Amino acid sequence: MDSYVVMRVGSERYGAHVSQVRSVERVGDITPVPRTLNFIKGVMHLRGAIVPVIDLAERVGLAHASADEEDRRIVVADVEEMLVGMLVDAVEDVVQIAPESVEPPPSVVGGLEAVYLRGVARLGDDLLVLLNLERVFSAVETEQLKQVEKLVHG
Amino acid sequence: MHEEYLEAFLAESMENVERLEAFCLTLEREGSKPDLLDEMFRAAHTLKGMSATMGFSKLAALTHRVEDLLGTLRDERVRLEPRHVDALLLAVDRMRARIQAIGVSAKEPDEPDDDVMAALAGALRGGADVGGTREEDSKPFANLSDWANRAAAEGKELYTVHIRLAPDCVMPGVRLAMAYQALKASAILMAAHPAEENVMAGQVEATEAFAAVMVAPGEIDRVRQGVLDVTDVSSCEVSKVSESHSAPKEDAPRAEQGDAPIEPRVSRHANGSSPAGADLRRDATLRVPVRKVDALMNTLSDLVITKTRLATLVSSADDPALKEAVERLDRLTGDIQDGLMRLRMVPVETIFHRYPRMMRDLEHRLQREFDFVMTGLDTEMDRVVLEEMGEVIVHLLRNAVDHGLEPPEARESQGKPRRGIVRLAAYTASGHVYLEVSDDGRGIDRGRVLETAVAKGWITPEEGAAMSDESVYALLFRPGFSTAERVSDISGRGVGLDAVREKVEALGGQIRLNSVLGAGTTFTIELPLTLAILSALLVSVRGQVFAIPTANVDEVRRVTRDDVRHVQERPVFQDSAGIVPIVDLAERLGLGSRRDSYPQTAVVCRDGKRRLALVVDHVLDELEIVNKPLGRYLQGVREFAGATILGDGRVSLILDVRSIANPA
Repeated sequence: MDSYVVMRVGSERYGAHVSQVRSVERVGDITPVPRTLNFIKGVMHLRGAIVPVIDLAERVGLAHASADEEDRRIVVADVEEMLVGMLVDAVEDVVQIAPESVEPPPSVVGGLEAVYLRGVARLGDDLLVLLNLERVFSAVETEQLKQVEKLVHG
Repeated sequence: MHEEYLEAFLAESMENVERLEAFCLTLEREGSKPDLLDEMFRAAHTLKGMSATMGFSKLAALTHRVEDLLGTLRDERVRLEPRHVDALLLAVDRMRARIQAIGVSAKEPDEPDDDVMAALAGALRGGADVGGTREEDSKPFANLSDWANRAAAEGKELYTVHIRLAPDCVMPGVRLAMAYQALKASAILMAAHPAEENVMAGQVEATEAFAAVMVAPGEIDRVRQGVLDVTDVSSCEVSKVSESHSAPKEDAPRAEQGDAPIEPRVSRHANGSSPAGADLRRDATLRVPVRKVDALMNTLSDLVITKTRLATLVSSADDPALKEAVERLDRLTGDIQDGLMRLRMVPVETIFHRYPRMMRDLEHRLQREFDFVMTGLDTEMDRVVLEEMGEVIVHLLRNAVDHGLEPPEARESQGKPRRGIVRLAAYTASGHVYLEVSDDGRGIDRGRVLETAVAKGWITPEEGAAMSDESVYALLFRPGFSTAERVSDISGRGVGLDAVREKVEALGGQIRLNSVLGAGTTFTIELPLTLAILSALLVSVRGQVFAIPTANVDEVRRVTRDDVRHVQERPVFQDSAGIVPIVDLAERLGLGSRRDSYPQTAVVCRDGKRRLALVVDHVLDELEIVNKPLGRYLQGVREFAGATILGDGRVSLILDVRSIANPA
């Protein structure tokens, strides 16, 4: 059985594999970094390290639904020796999912292209979309570079 | 084997070998001196004694022969000649290889030292064995470049292979034989060290081996995997040999000193007569991964923040004892911080010490005559950055000797001193470390550089004529540029100045060059002191706080409406030192539109000779900050050099003044 952290973004639920989750933090001060992509909210300080924070809702093209400020969290992922914080509307649970019950993702789920997904699992009546964080972040990295390039070359 | 003794033996014997090597160079430079030869004799004697005690009889025998030669020289039974030094250096190389091998396997390698012994005996007799033996020494791989050319002609590729067995391997001879067979299964074995026939005959107990193989393109991975599949093979490193040059660092017996396929167990220090022995032993026992130091550093900066908060709370209290305790805490945290930073810093000498020998060999090989001067050996810099710079400096030094310095006759005919000078200097200034390589050679011919650039279609002759020297020199760093008419085996390694620049820039530094035709060339590398605590000015722009390193700040001044002029529609102001462009930071960073009301607060920054006035809303404070990297994720953002955590826990971005001054 694999454990996943269940994150709520708008009305969707996303799962991040626990092995890739370093910690879950309350939302503190986030320093915006000028001239970066919109969904990059900025950087924060986590036990002495500087960690970039992305807004998962904006990343996947969803609005923050109820967005109760009290519930919002930053899920700090540790992917390929890089710490990245994901701003989510809430962290609900940690669930156990058997690998065999994970189905391949339909081509477009919740605004994210299938390549960003590990798969989809049933969670009671809901669907839990399992994220492929390596892909989500590396794609962000590439886009960020493109963005910088655009600024540079007009 | 007594493990604890072995460690000490390795450190001390390597130290003595380093001393011997440094003495040899002094001997060659300054001639025979009784004191010097005494010192050398003692170093050799100590080494001999230690080797014998530890049961490394071959090393002891070799050292004994060295001692003989030194004794003869000391007693002036023969006059010092260059061949004596050559033979001694040959022996030094072999001793070092032996000690390194012992470090790997805790055993003495089995190959005989007959060649070196003969060279030493020859030098003692006054025979001509030295030259011949030297050839002998590197024989297995002396033909690398020929083979590479042949391989290319046959549509194949030449690789050197470095095989290592697990140190606890029970039957190294058998395993090596199997590894050789694996090599031969899918590659043509050109040469091997130890020799193939000895290995196959079971006469070898070595735990490592070098080979040169010819393989079909794309096959090398399979070859390597075949070797790795042999039981007890712990590593197999392959490295491609390009055609058309013989690469001395790929000589098998020396590979240990080149790109370091073997990680030396004992770090090597230049010694001269400095009492660096204690340092050497400390280095040998304290190998800490950088990330562990970084983790500690992070915890520490957290501590600093907590301390600052505490200090804020206490400042309103009225308790002298409490205040004193906080002040003490403040000092102690500072001490820990300093100490931790120093953990990552090492003197440049740890890398520089190997250059005198390299330069000496270059001098001989290229038939140049020059003095090599190093200064600032105790300059400290980040260990990782320094290691990265090692190869870059090698390249620049080779360049200086090969392309910079003229042959002695040419120098004389131009009225220059026959002997040239090559300098390597290290120093720190205003938050940066500088490494400088300079020569007093022919300098860079602007005309020839432009010719090449025009020929490559990069610029038109008219553009070239209008270019400043600085821009002309910048062409040298472009990929694909090489004014070398011939590809020599010294500098023509397909590694150009563009690769040098890339490496320097990847470390957040930059490289400049200055040259006077006929008088010489200077390369200056400027590197940030990473992890450095730097002093910075905190400014606010539209409510956001940014840090500007004070190293970049000239002054803070008010700019009134009357001060502002326009040059090509860009605002500037003028002072006694010249014209300064005004940049509104809010606008530059996309935080808002340009401020229209006056007077404005401007931070006048300096990047080299250029100045730039950054308009900010307020200047808040000046304080010491810890520069933390923004990380891979945000590496593309050029405007910021890093970030720092302020006393209240908020993150502030550190401006990169250079990038702001030069929007690409």
